[in-house]
Amino acid sequence: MKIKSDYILRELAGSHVVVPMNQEVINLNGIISLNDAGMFLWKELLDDKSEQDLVCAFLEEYNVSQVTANKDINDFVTTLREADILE
Amino acid sequence: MAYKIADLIIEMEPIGEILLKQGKSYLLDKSFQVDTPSDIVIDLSKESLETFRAKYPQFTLNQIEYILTGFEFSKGLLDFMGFCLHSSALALDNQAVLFSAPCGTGKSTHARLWQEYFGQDKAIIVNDDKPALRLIDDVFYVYGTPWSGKTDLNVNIKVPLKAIVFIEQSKVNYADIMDSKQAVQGLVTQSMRPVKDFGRMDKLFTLLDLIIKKIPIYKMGCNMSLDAVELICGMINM
Repeated sequence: MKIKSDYILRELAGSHVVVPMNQEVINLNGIISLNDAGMFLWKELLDDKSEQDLVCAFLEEYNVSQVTANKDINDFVTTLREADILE
Repeated sequence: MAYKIADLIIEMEPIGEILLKQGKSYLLDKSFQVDTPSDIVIDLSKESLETFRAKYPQFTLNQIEYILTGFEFSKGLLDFMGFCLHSSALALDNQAVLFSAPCGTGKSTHARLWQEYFGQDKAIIVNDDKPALRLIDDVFYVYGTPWSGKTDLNVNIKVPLKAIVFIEQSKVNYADIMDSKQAVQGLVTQSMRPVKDFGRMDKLFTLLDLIIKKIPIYKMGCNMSLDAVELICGMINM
């Protein structure tokens, strides 16, 4: 899975937000903002990665348990899936 | 025909009743109609009208022209240090406050409470749906435009921006400065964003960054009573 090309990351006043480039103007859906961990995972997902790939990369970068990593990544991927950001 | 909207010359040829009627107070005098170079040309293609109609069959062609010309204006405005924010803009004593929120939250209701509190001759609704904001000589101004959503509540005036308030419904009234992260969320969600246009998206974000630096942003929960007006007035010093 990877991030659809319709979505870009933009920084504004220290926050990193996911902005749809091709969304209908009439649509005023909420905007997702990412923390540091979210940004890390976003960058990983610019290339095709599996959830397992993400967990491995995450564990190399952050000092957390496998269980925590699995859960956090699953939550993150679910959020992006629900917002139709992943392909 | 040439119109003057947000201090810009807009060229468009309305056909439908809504746009003709609501555009009237922005129409340039006949003597300016010829030889005035336009800043923005709004020319809807038949294809864009038909594509929209196919997607949203509940709208008449009259309404579609009104909606799509509004989008074109918001997009073109980005080339002139301006953008549109989905909000109800109210002016009092030559200062404008914008009430922003998702549809149906009560932005317009709140603006009308201000009118009830201060009187309609003092509290003026500049634009009840998507006012234009422009940065001119380091000051943000709020403008009325013909595009005011479901109502015709708009006035062809220009007022310096004092504050932006993101509102939500709440049983108990409260008001506070909004933290930066929430302000970013609110602004990005409620601003009219260009579609498939990286250049203009960059321009929008430049403006939003300046808004955050220069304009106080508040969040407010209100129960739609006049107390709510007093509370927020006190908070933003109006």
